[in-house]
Amino acid sequence: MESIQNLLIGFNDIFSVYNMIIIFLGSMFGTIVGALPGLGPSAGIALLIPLTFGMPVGSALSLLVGAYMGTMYGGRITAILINTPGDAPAIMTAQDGYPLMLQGKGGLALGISAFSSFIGGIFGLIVLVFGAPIVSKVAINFGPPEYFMLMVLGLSTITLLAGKSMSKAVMMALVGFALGMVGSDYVSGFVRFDFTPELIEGVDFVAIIIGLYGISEVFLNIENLVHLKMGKPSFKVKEFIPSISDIKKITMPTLRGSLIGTLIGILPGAGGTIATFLSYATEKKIAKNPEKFGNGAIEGLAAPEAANNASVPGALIPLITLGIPGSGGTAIMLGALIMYGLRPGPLLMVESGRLVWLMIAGLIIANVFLLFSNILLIPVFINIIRMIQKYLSPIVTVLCILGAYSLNYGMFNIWIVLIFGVLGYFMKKFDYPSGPLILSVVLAPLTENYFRQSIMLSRGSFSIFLTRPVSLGIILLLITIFAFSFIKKGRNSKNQDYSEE
Amino acid sequence: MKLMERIFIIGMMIFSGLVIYEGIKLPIKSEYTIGPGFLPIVIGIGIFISSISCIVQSVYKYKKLDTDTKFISKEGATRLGIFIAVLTGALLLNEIFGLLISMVVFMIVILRYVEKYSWFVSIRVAIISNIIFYLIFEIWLRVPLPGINL
Repeated sequence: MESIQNLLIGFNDIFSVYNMIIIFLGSMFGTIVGALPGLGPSAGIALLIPLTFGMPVGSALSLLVGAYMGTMYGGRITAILINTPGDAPAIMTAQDGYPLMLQGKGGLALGISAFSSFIGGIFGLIVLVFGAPIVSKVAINFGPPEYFMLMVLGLSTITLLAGKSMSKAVMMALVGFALGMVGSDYVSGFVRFDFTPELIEGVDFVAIIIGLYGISEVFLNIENLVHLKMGKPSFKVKEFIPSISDIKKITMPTLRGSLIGTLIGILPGAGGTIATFLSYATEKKIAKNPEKFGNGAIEGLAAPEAANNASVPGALIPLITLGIPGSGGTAIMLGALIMYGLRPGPLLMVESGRLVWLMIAGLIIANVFLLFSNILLIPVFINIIRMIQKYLSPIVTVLCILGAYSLNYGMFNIWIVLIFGVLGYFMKKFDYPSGPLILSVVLAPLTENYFRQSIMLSRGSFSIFLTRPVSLGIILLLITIFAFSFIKKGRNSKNQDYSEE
Repeated sequence: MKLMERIFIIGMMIFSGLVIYEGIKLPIKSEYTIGPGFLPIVIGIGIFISSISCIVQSVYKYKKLDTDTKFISKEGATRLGIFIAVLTGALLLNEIFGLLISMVVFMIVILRYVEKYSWFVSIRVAIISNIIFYLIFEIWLRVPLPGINL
């Protein structure tokens, strides 16, 4: 009951014409960015952060969560229409969405996927509303050693975000950590890496993400001159609305996808991509006619879409309650929360409870807006995507430059954006993951702070991490994660060797 | 690709040296806890070790491959080179012409010479999008964008 009361307070706080417009615009922006290949949730949130300066914190959060949710809806549009997923989770959407499009049922595929996305989002939000306060209550008595271990747990998710090479992920995480240490050390007063006076305050996290996600993608697009080839939309609104028999067919796959998406979303590092793959595989496994999958099965379209959108609220549970971001997108959200003066972690719901519930209310409203806009405004979206994609590179560049300038009204951050744009370009070319770098930049100052406080608390002894039960528990969990990750890696390489033989 | 990747890793090694050097300059210990130089040294050493691991992996990876792929095509390199040069030039011109006018010029040059659109389309897109940016940043968000300074 307490959760519902708090949620109602959140709705009360968020309801203003200004906030509704902000959420609507954020959702629309997110949908368009999500649909553009290469630009996912991380880029969507990163590009919007500079626009939130000067806004009340509640409105700023509304804009970001609207965009975050929107990117999850957007990825499916280009996946269904031209077999080009806008982001990684939409890969599974293309499996059955594009065959439906070829069969002349593109409108229906867009309608079903919008409907399933909505149900998935709402399912995940219900779990978030009731689950977050419980986790938060358990974690409220944590001290610096537990916080430090939570930060280490957060950093350990790089093993899951690693991609193909663990060494590359570790290297990027360490580089991120080094970048997070730039500037004044508030405990001793010393300044690290003070090559220019601007660095005394550290490297701006937003400038790093704008460079890594925005400018680097522009460089790749310019190199390859990537342009989408979308036709003019010729759908009628009634084609988007699924029939009763279609709804019956997709009800259970949507619910299963929602459950899988929420659970996978909660696990740090797993995220939407794994959720969509797993839900698609589950549906195919239990289907009466698995041969239909890949040829336009609506169940194969509904389940991953529901899983994808359910993973967003799922991923927000560890972020809000423990301060652990599990993906690039949530790492950027974490950075944004810190930037607005909030302290993600067990105390967030106590210290800034109203803002958290406002954010959750914003997610629910964004989800409703997105359902209707994704059914009624599809032709508009398609036209905007067609128009923007042609001129995307210079438009995104100028947006990034102006965004970087507005961070502190100076040119320094613009040069930082360019430097990280070049770094991001090389990272993409050589397959170095950017998620671990971002995660470390955000978590480095907090991790160092909690480590120092813990050591001070124990008067110089490192045993404090082993003598406190929660901290010890997290250490054991970490050992399990690493052991599991190495065993899995060993098995994968063995399987690869066999297949090569 | 092979050479470029190794240059990238060597760059990371140099960066690790810089991090360690900065750490050495600062105290490693303070009363009851670590000093500001402790973590930079640890992190710097970590970057160096992981760079070596990446170099080893790269040697094995390219040994397995028969042919090395090109890092970038000649046309791609030209386009990217023009793009970065024009962007840098426009940012330097910002001191004189202000940020928005520099960005209009940047967009026109890129759309015309890199993306190969007509003059009319290039000018139209550059002006319309910068008017929208002006309305968002200068009017709505009240960001004082630098103006003309002749």
